[in-house]
Amino acid sequence: MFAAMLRAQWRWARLPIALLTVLAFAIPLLSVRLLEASDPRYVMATMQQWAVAYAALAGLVGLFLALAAWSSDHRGRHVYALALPLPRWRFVLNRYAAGAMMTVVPTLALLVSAFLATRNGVVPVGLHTYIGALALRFMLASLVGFSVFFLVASSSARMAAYVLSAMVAIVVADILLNSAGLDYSLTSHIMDVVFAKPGLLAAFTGRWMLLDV
Amino acid sequence: MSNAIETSGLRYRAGKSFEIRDVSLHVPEGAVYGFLGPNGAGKTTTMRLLLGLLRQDAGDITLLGHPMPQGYVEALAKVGYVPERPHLYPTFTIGESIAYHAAFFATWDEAHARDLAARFELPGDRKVAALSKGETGKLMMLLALAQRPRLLALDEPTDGLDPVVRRDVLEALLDYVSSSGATVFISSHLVHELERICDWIGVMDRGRLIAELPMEEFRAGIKRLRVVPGARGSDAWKSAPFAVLARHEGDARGEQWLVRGWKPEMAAAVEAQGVSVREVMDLDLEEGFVELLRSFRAPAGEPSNGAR
Repeated sequence: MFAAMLRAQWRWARLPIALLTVLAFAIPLLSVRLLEASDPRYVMATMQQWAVAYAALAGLVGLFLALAAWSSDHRGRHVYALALPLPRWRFVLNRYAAGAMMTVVPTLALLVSAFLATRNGVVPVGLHTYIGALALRFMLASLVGFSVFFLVASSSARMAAYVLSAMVAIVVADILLNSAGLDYSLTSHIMDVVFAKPGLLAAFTGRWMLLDV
Repeated sequence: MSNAIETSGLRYRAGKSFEIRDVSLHVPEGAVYGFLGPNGAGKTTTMRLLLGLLRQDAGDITLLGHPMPQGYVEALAKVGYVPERPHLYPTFTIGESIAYHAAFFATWDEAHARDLAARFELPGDRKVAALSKGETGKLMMLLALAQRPRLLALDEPTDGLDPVVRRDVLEALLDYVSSSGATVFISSHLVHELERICDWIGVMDRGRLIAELPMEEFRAGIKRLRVVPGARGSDAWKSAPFAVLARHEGDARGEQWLVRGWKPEMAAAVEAQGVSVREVMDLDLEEGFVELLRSFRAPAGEPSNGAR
């Protein structure tokens, strides 16, 4: 049963995942190939710029896997899933597990690419490679992103509307606070809470460095 | 005889304007039960409640001995369900759809699935999205039948299909039922179709079950009478020993009554009230169904569609 669900989800997700896997393979290679100097400080600054690409890619992997997990069922108003003879929590768990397993594909691409990019002695003296740590962080962030989007995608349209409304309300509140001359940003505060440790999305921040001290 | 489906006092409110009210169904095991009703009567909602796809506000449901919705896992393993709208994944091929569906049913019969695919001329490599309405209907029926279910819950399974496909689908259904003794709960507004295959009928209208009886009884009880009321018989219909669903005033040859609960021995009782019964005509299911709905919708105590 799980194999059937995994095959189904792979079929729905394979195109975006293939594209994202190519990107995951390309980023470490490009980040090292495009280095124009071997000064450690320059190398670290460049690596830091590439960190955004890793985090964004992990978020996209999570997003597309979550969408692929539920979009076909949404289209059929979940009638098929509800009519199957297995506990609904188990169906959801299988869907989640199948999606989570697929984060391995771009992670492996990133791991191999990072290894290839750093194997020919391009690492300046004083810096080290963090291939495993980077790949692990990428996988963790993909899983966190997938979990969040999975939760949103599996809920009803009404719930999605609530989430969207809450986001709009925060932006409006910020505009009002700003126009009232108050030096307080609700968005910044929420971002700090969510992205700073131990926030829900803390995996997306921090040091996404292939080469570091 | 035990019941494959049994409900009592079933209630469900869907939105502000529609409600399933006090539905008490009894579908005998092994029966082919036709669930009739006009569009919007509540047939699909009732079927979804029976299968545990929706949760009732009140009332009890027992499906193949399992209380619903609590026992949905055990019950659905024995039910072949064809929903009103195809629910298959459009990106799958026919072969993938069959393989996916088979993975969830321990009773799946691979040989039967292959036979049906050949009989319905369904090529395994065709995409579901590219199938015609008829092919989709056949695939849905294949999936339901190859599960070897004890109960088939079919929601308008032949709606929109051409006569050839409809015949193929119904033949496959009847073959399975005759060999397995499975119960069939089939909803449709194609009354002629049900007349051929059903041995029980239930009629829904406006969220209520307005009739439930064996087909034979329904056929035998609903008649069109050509009568000639005498001078003292103009109001005789009010005290007739059967229900007069409708009166149509006619010409000198008399008027026509559509009646329910007719038995031949009642003729004498009517004659005694000054009404001469000239002819007793059988109605087909569709006429009976329409008149039943009309009488249900008419003001209480009055026959529909005629002089009162």
